[in-house]
Amino acid sequence: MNTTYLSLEIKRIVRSPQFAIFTIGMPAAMYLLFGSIYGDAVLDNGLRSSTQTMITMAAYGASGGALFTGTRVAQERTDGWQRQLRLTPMRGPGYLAVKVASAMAVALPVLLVIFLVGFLRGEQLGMADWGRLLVFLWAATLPFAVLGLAIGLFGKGDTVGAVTGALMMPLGMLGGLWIPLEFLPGWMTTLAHFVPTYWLRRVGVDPLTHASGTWVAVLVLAGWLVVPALVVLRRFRLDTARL
Amino acid sequence: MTGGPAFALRGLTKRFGQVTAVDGVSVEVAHGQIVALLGPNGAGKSTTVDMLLGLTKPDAGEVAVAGGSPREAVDQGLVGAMMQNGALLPDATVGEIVDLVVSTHAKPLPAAEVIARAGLQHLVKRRCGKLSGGERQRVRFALALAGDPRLLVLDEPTAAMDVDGRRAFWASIREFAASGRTVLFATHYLAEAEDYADRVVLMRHGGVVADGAVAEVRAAVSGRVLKAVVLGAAEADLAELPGVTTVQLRAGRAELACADSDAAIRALLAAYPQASDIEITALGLEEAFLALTADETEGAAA
Repeated sequence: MNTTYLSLEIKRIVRSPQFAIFTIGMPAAMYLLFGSIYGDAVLDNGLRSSTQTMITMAAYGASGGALFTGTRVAQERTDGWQRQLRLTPMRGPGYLAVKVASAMAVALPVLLVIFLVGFLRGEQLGMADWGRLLVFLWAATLPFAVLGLAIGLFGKGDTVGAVTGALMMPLGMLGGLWIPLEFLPGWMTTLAHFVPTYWLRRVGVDPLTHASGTWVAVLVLAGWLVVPALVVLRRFRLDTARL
Repeated sequence: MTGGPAFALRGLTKRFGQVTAVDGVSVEVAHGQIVALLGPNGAGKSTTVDMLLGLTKPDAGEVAVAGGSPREAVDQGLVGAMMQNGALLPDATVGEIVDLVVSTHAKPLPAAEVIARAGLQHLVKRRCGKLSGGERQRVRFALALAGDPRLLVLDEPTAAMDVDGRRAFWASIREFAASGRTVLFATHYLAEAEDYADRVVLMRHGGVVADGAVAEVRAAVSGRVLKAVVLGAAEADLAELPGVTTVQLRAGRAELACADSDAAIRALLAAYPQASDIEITALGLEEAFLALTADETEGAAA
């Protein structure tokens, strides 16, 4: 992988106001808000309400940030940047790898910031649990980076931005990232199984509540990784063939 | 580096729907030449350049750059290109974007040298989104130099530059070419072709209409213009006169572009003894260029 490009990509993402406001700021603010509204109530699964909110907001920030990779890719195609890159020895796979890697790289600070806020706010978790949360949620962000890329290869910059923004609504809502699923009507909790964020939340929450069946979540997320990856590979081949 | 030509286009053709943008273009360029691809907008210059660089696939014909495919040439850093409106990253600095493109090449020029050659020393920390049009062109030029190419392809390179910028730009191109490297630049500025090219390939309607040294192209395309007041003459009749290629008639004053002005003047006086105010002048390259590249319909207005 071209590490010069990767580090530039990371810098560009971190520089953008979008990253500071929507990817880091908003989930942290929502955590502080909901955390204080639902307070220290203990949920049926044994977690403090605010702890679960911290986890779901971390998941929301990381997955949303990763998904927005696609918007950047679409914008760059609209601007003609990929055409510019075709005048260099860099090939498509190298470009895509940098995009996914940069999405993953910036997901890490997103998680760390929320966890730091949570720690300062007094969430009670053991070292092992903090570590597990970080590693699991981070790894489970990968499907969202690839999914974003898949969306990004299909449209123009502003269209993809709007689509991704609109997508974050059902993903946040149905995935139980904004409001605990228990508060939603039954049909919505059924529908929740069809969105990847539901499984992302499970990967974060399950280990803390010792719930069973987390392997299902891992398998489903693997599916959400493989299918968009195939779409990306196929699409990119078509895209370059069209030139 | 191979012993063959810097690049060769053979029977290159590209259609977009009903329109044939490039129609059987064949050009071979030896190492060390500075070649202008000259023609009005819509002549097929950009499409030809795109095919030369492997950005567009020709419908027919072939492209060889340093003996290989365009993609191979790009991969080996043998060709660098500066595209019209080539994209930059608005949120990256000039230094960052140069570093990036340098990093993609196996045998690049050092970034500092790229920056220096493009005259960007004072702009290294500036974001690309905050550059002026001319500065952006210099960044594109820097990116084209990054791979230390043998062949430099420039599509309308000075379009956004002011006079000083142009002069400085061409100075650096000459410096580049002085080391035996090849430059192809597409332009619709005749003066640029005249001043900076060793050879001019003149395009019109997707085809090559003249190809040679500036002086040769001038000789090939230039004729003489015969001007006279010819009352009562019709444009169609004047066009029939021997040696006349095109006719413009305004308020009784005729302007005849002539391949053979001697034959034309004899025939004119024989047919219209009343013709007066006769003038015969040699065409400048500018007029020759216009005559050659303008549409027949536009010719009357030019």
